[in-house]
Amino acid sequence: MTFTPCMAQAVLYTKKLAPAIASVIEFGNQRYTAWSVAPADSTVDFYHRAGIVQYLALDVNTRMSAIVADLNSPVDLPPVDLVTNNGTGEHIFDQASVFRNAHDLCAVGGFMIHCLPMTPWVNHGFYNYNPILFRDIAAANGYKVHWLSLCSRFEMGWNISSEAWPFVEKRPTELIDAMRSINGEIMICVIWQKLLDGRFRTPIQGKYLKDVEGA
Amino acid sequence: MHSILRHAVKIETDPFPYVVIENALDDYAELAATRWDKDRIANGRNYVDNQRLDLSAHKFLGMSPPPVWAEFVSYHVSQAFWRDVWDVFGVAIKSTHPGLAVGRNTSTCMRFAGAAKIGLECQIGMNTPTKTAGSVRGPHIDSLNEIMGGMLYMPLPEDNAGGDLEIHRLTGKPKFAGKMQLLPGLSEYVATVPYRANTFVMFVNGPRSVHAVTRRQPTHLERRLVSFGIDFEAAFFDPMGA
Repeated sequence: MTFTPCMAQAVLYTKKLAPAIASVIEFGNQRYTAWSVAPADSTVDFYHRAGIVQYLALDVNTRMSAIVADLNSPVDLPPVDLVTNNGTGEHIFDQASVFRNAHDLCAVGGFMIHCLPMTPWVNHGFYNYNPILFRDIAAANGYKVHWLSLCSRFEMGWNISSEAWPFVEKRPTELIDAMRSINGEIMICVIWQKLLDGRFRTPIQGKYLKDVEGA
Repeated sequence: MHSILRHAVKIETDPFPYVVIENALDDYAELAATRWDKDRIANGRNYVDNQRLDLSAHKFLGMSPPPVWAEFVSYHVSQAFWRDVWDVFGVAIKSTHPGLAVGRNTSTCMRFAGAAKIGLECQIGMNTPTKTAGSVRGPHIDSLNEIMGGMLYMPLPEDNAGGDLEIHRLTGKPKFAGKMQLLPGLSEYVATVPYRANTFVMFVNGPRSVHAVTRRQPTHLERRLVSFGIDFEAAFFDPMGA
């Protein structure tokens, strides 16, 4: 995966929210390309310079400080202050397992950054993502949403986490306008904070919650 | 009995992962007051000046120790303690040894008392009194099958003879002699962990985990500690791989 300027901005933004962050687990090893944001020799070096001194990446090989782990299954590691899923989750078949692992590997009070493809990204991975997924996972698990944006690999974009229009389904005029304002392929960047202890809860899409019998 | 890692806060990662906890045990005073003297720990063994002697957990627990000690040692050779260690050091263990096949639920046993992937040791240790100044060990790394090492210091109040732990950074291609002793000039001093009552230090062992013990001045007092070790079933790293 590529550690983009957008991702570097997201990490530095999170570090500003919580300066005590000292440990990170990344989904996928990360090739550093964020020199426009911060000089670094590698992604590990970037984190060290940011004061995040414990680093581990999970991948299918051991390149770039990674260990071998299958995100389709539970990963046996203790929780850390920050979990990142930068352009990795879309390549994993079992999406519930990806978000469950992020949840389990994140300490209570810790943060998760997901930076994932939205459109077009044709055949890039198994999946592309919609903003609604991140709203409903956060709601199901009591995450505090510090950031949600449509972004490119070069810019984190602007924070729309408090807006309603990113989740409009029919005639999403503002969402389409926002997508048109981004040059190139569009990603979604989200920063969550895990506030509650407990198991990962699989979301039901918000617009169908009222239809659930026995709920 | 609480885990000795209960108050662990911050892992240092430079030059290798370690944690130092001051006032590690809430019930330290009771342990210190009932610790056996040096003759009991020597257990009939002859010794010379400044010699390291240990009573393994397995042996110690068979000698009817005081209940508070039996509880302390039993906990720190248990699966529960390995989980405590994993929760604090798991990421550091995996980043130091990516290929090491251990996890939170890997089977454990007390060293010398079973067969499991991981053996835990919690031995009552000392350096014997000495008539001449000298260091017990210069810069070295621990055994090639050791995942974690740790020390709880228990000096007598009047002991000011030295015997601190030093953290070193490897500065050259490692060359060893004897028991993983680094040849002179291949490491530099980084930090000191003082030989102070109720201070606990624990580290991930590996090719960069160079540490030493400072000189101890002539003294009639023994250097008192509890030594923790967590071993894998076989050697798992290359000491020249730093």
